[in-house]
Amino acid sequence: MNGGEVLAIRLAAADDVAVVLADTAAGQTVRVAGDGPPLSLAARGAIPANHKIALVPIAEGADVVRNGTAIGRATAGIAAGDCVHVHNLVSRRGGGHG
Amino acid sequence: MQDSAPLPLPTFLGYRRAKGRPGIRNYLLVLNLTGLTSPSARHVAAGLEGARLVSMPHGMAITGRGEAPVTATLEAFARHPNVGAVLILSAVRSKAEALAERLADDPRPAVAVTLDAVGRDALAFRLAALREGARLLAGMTRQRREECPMSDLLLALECGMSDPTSGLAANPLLGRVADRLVAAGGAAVLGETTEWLGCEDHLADRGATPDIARAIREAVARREEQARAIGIDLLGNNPNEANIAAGLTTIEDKAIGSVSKSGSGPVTALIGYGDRLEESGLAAMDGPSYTPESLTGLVATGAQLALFTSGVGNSYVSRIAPTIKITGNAATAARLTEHFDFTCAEIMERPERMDGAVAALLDRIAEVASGALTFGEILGEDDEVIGRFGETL
Repeated sequence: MNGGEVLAIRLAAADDVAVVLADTAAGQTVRVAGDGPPLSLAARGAIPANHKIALVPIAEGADVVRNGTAIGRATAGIAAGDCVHVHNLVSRRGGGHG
Repeated sequence: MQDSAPLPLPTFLGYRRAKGRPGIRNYLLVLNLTGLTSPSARHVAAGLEGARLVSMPHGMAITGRGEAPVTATLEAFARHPNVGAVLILSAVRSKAEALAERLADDPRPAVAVTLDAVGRDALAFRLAALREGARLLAGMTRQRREECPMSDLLLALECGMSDPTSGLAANPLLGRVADRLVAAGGAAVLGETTEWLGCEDHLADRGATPDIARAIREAVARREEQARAIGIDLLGNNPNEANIAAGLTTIEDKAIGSVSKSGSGPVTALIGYGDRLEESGLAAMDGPSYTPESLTGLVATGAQLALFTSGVGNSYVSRIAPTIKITGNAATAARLTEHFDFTCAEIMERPERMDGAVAALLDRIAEVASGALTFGEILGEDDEVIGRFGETL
């Protein structure tokens, strides 16, 4: 890791989100690698390790795609750099969060 | 995006069989059908170099709807590519003869030794089995390995004791290897139906025909129903608190981490437990998620080799199919040094190294297929556990 960058993995080039590999502070640069062209963006809030960062804006109600498949529906508008998790992403399949 | 086409797949040295795929090992299968002979069967297998035991100790207890998949699985092992000859052990002649009769179309030798033919004398039974087994091994081990294309392989895909590296590195790596192999004319098979829950749209959309798509959805629905019938809600509290703290948000998010080991290609068959897979392509097997039963079902399809990922550590391997244990967790790999046969932890540091990891794993597959032993084989961390369906009376 150089100069306070955090690495994130994007599994498929068209994914909406990547997974950060270390605890990320608000404003920290996230370097996205994996399938598709490399990309850097700033985290718009704190993101814990192994949680998801949005790579593109996602409209409320739109599908969120990770690893080439929809993993749920956005429950609020999401900006690139936002953490994506239980507060703004819900299952389309059903079933609860704990 | 790579401009050049991927390098051709390495070949391996295998044991050609008259029918079907070549084997990557040449075992004497000691196939035990009944509980009464199970202890003797263990002595027999232990007494013969090159023997491997597959036992159904619940033999006479299995009735009703549980019988067909068990019978199919036993026959599937007798026909497995890694088997050079079969020694069928049973307490009763009728069961052994029924199986031997079904195997008559296969030129590999199949000899039955039964307890009722030696007056129920367990020691005489053991001796007779050792003699027959010794003769079978002396004959079958004269066969030599020959060069085979990697497309002759059917790979079993399994994961267990996962952690975040499983979904980020190891399972996607398996998926790319499966895609490469299938594109070259090979085959792979995925099981663990309850892990498809959340991903059934993704998998069904990859179904090569509408029938397969429907069968995938029905398989998942049946598991949910079975679970409900015993008071388990597969979607309730799933992902659970620990999953959520670890970053998994929805059941779909969790499921794709596991199902990604099947790659991105079409699912060309949906098969049941005990079914054999002769065609090429990626198949989905409707089967249990419990590892020992799952792996046995996957190997029964005829998979000569298994790829098994784990994040935190899992030493369990198939007895009949050499199992390459794979992790993407550098700390786990450093700690469990006689356990994992391949690590892809560098993908976690440098995701752009995925293509290199694919090439390295294909080479490792070719090595193991050609005879290099995995840790599971060396240390005997192997078993076969045939799935049970229904209760014993």
